[in-house]
Amino acid sequence: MEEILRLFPTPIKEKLTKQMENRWQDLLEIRLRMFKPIELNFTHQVEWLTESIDDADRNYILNQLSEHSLYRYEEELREGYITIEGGHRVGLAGKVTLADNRVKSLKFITSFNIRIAHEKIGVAQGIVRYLNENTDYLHTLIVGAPQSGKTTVLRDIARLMGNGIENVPAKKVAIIDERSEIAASKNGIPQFDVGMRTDVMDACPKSSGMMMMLRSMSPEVILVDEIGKEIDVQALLDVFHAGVTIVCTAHGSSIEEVKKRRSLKHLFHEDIFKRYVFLSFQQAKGFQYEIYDEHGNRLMKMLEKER
Amino acid sequence: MKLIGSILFITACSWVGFDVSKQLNKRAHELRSFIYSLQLIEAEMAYSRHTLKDIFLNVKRKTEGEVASFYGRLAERLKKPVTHFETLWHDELTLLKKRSTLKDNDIHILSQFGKNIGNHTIEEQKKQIKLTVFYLQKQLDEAIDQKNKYDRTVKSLGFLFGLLIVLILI
Repeated sequence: MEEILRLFPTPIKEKLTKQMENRWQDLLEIRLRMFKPIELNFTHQVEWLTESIDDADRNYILNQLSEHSLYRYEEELREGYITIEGGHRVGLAGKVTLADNRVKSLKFITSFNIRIAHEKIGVAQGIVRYLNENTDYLHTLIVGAPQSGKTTVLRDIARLMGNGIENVPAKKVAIIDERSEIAASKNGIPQFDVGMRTDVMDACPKSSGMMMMLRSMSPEVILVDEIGKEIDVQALLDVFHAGVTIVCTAHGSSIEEVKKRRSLKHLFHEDIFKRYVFLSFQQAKGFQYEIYDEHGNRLMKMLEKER
Repeated sequence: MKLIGSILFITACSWVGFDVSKQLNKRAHELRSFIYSLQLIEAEMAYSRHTLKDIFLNVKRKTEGEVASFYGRLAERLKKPVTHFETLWHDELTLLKKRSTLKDNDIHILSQFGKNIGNHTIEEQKKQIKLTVFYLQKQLDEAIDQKNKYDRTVKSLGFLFGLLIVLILI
């Protein structure tokens, strides 16, 4: 967790190390707000550090985040997040500056949300075996609310598909990793295990990345995270018509709700998806998933104590 | 004996003259190196989007002398967590001033640049680099001018001064 601790000024770093002991595996988020206590979100509870951050700390954290090189993060500041080494995503909030009614940049950043990326090898083992028909994978949509483990599951699906499972041989897998969260690539090299036969297009906009991969890497499966924009949907339709299997995730509190989303409606018009995976996470129950087929029949429901 | 002494003395004085002229040349060379390094930094910021640390390492490889070691030291110090980059830049400039032939004005321009590096968007960084290059170019013109003006003078002055003293003492 050195890559997270290095972000904080020494006093906070010491307090945090003391409070955390060796519970890093359970930590989901560290949330910092100016002049407010620091919030630590664990799998089963919320804890607080009495320390708060002031102007100087804020600048320190920003400098460490960007490694004194803010010019690298223009696009990220516009989108409101920076992904750091290790695939941890730091969400930002503050005051926005506009140019021509478009968000130009984020100034006076006042809140940081450090989401800890967890590599959970094997988490999708129970899911992947429902996603194939004979030796081919089916188009799959993974739905879940924020923090339900969509990216973690997607990463493990990539690993399993790229390595092959009992009755399905390894496939050529392509990941479009727009936010560098799935593979946590550093200079293009994945830091997480995403499978033997997996190629990663890092930091690339999903729509262009899918087209690039389709044209040049002849993938059998394409994985993308968090589809939402119409332009992504258009690219997904192209991938579908090219005969490549799609595995993607979308934000949503239920599958029905996602189907109603206007920007996604074309996807459902064509009845692309043959499998739906619904992920949920509650602090009391832990991590759960359900798998449905295209007619809405539940194929399985699984409950895991530990995420 | 007198003859040998005189020759030694005159040689020493001429050598001082040549050394002063070399310093004049060296300043122009160092300024040129810095202008080149800033252009490298601009290209690296805009196209390869590396961190400052990596940019400085690259610049170190592509430059030489005091300029290279200046960037090398910056990159080295950036490997550890740094609270204020500006202080770091300032410290290294102070050291650079001692070791190089750059003048107060040259250092001042570089120190201004250090206040803005790394905190802005690419467009703004480009503007600041252009401005700094513009000022450094002026300093370079002045340095070349001085070199042309005084280069020969200091060389012959050294020799003539030596000769004068020898003549007086003889």
